[in-house]
Amino acid sequence: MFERQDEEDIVERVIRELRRPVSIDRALDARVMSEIARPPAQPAARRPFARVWPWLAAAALLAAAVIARPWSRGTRPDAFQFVLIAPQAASVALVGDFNDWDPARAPMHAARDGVWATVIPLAPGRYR
Amino acid sequence: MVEAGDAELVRRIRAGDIGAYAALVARYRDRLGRYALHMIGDREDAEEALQDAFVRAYRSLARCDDPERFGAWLYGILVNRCRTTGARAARRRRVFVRDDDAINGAAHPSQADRVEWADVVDRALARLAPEYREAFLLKHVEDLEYEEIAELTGAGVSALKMRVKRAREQLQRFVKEAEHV
Repeated sequence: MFERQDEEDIVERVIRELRRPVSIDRALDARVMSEIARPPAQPAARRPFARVWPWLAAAALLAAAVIARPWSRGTRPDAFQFVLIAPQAASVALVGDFNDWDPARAPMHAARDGVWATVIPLAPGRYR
Repeated sequence: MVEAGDAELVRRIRAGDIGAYAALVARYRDRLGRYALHMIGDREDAEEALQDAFVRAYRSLARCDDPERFGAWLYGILVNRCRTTGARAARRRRVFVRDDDAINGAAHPSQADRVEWADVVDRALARLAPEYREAFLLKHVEDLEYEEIAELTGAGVSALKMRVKRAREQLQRFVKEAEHV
């Protein structure tokens, strides 16, 4: 009984202390108003070339591949794996004169984290 | 002159009167600041959380469904900001340093006692788990109903009652320990 009363007293005293008004620096008002007057950071606007992005990416990748030949050997003989990191792309295809520039013949597949990949057979030579 | 109510101020802001927001900030600054200060324990972090809550509230004002209850809605945003800021602050060493001028300048013994008591309370509060501290402050200091707290925190009413009960028990123990040191 006394212990319960003791607890009530202590907690009530704590509550009274915590309920005391607190004064926050009024400069905060100006900081808030200044902040809201600034336009919020917008996500990057969609680039005007977004529609052609997959094609540009694929073409750039292919050009780089032809010039520098940085690809790795695929798992099958004469098979080459092409990999592109394009998190913003909705679809990617690998095109060149080896497939008559036909995107339907070498679509790249989304793996994960914006990584696209495809494996195509290629005979030794130079391609555009 | 009668001050405009929250709903009226929200209506003006939505109509493009950004300046009306200053009245809302001034109205809620100290009350919400008290919660942030007790919840986080560090004035600088608390003011940062408060400022962030005001800015976020302004930017999402379109989602305030009931402008009459702007204050409650703002509380919800602040509770979240305090959770984020509090978690970050907890990774640093939580230190309560009372204003030295207030302590040294306490000319009257009773004033010195009060500063000391406030220190005991701060330290006891700081030892509570954040979810206990949050429930205790919202219930007993900010005087909200359990249903309102449930809405703000996403916790169930029975869980909240348990947290408040535990907070009371622990506060009692921590204060006793501090007073017997």
